Amino acid sequence: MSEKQLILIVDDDPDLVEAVSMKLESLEYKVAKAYDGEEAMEKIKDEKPALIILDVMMPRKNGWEVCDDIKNNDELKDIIIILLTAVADSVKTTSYTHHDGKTTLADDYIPKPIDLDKLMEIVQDHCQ
Amino acid sequence: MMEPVKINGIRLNKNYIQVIQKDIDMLDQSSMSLYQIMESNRINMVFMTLNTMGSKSFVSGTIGLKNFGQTIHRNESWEYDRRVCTLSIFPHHHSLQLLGFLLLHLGGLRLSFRHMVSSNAMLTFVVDQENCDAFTDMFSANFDLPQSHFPFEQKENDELTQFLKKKYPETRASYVEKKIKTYGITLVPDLNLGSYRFSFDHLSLFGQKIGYMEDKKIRFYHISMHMASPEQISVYLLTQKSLSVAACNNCSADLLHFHGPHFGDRHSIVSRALSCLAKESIRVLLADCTGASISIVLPQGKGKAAKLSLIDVFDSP
Repeated sequence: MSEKQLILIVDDDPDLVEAVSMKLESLEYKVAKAYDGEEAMEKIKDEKPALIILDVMMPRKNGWEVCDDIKNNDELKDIIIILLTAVADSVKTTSYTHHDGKTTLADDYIPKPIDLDKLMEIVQDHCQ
Repeated sequence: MMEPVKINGIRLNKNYIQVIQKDIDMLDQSSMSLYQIMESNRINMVFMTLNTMGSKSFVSGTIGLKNFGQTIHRNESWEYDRRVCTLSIFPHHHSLQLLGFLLLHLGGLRLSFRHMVSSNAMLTFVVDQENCDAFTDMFSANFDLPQSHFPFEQKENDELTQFLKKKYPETRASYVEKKIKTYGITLVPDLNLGSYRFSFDHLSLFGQKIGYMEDKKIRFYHISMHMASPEQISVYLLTQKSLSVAACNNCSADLLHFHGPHFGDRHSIVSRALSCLAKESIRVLLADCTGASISIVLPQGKGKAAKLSLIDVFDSP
């Protein structure tokens, strides 16, 4: 990897943010953190991350709304979004899978509780 | 002048009642403890601390005002304290410098609190609600917070919750799992558990001592503090080895730590964990829950058996 890519982690669980952040940093990614949807939107506009790991249930603005705002914005829509959801059944497919009946514009998702190694694989796949 | 210490955020939960049950014996099956009664009533505690280290064991939890009526009629022997809030700062990076810096300022401003415990990333205080603004002011003045930060508060708004539940499949986590999913259960054996007890007047000095030790590499694994009386503070600090700061007592202990999705919003989780340990007659020295994390301090050598017993009820990837 010639240049460190910036990953934004958005979750209202600071313990989880720290755990994911440490793992990403060990793989040489740059990491930014946000703890609610509003804070995430500010960081996304300011820092333009390559990829966002985005929780669904958060204060102020939830992950579904953040995802919609990004994917409907021409300047931001190419940012890759991986949704974190505790109720994975609610995300039948994503635009990444190109199936009919998609329920979110996110590029990928991973159910909670996340397997950190699996999450790192997904991040690396998207950041290649 | 000291440089402000960098943190990423403050978390706030208002409008809670602190409930305290003293002289508990978690291995005694004949009476129900606070957390068991909360489980049977499906009531969540956003914060709980259990301590069997001192001369008087206790369990203390914070419950929402709306649940107060459900508990007080049944348990007149419990102590109920006036409105409290929980305030967390994060991340602490297990840094004794940050911890010392924080205690130094709290002592200097004589900002009293009821409890303070750590999770993997957070330091959480239970404070009287009337002191909430003084705490947030102190954090804002002395810590370097991101410009975009907003001290977030997850408000109970039933109308909004119902609307969001209809619109989005996942907005509040109130689900119950037969086997509770976690992000993993971590055992750290053979730590030093230092016990300290001193007057509130000495809090600044204690902060200065632990925050400015010569060896900057020493990290803390867990901390649990409470006001033992209006003027006395008890501190339990887990580190790799004993610190140069004189303790009332040092002993060896094991630490179990785990957290899972939405633990902070769901009832019964800590109760199920402690019931697992009670079934195996494993004594718990300290158990602290804040945010989505549970930390359990056990006598040395008991960690492995405790972890095995938890795996019956908790799923560890």
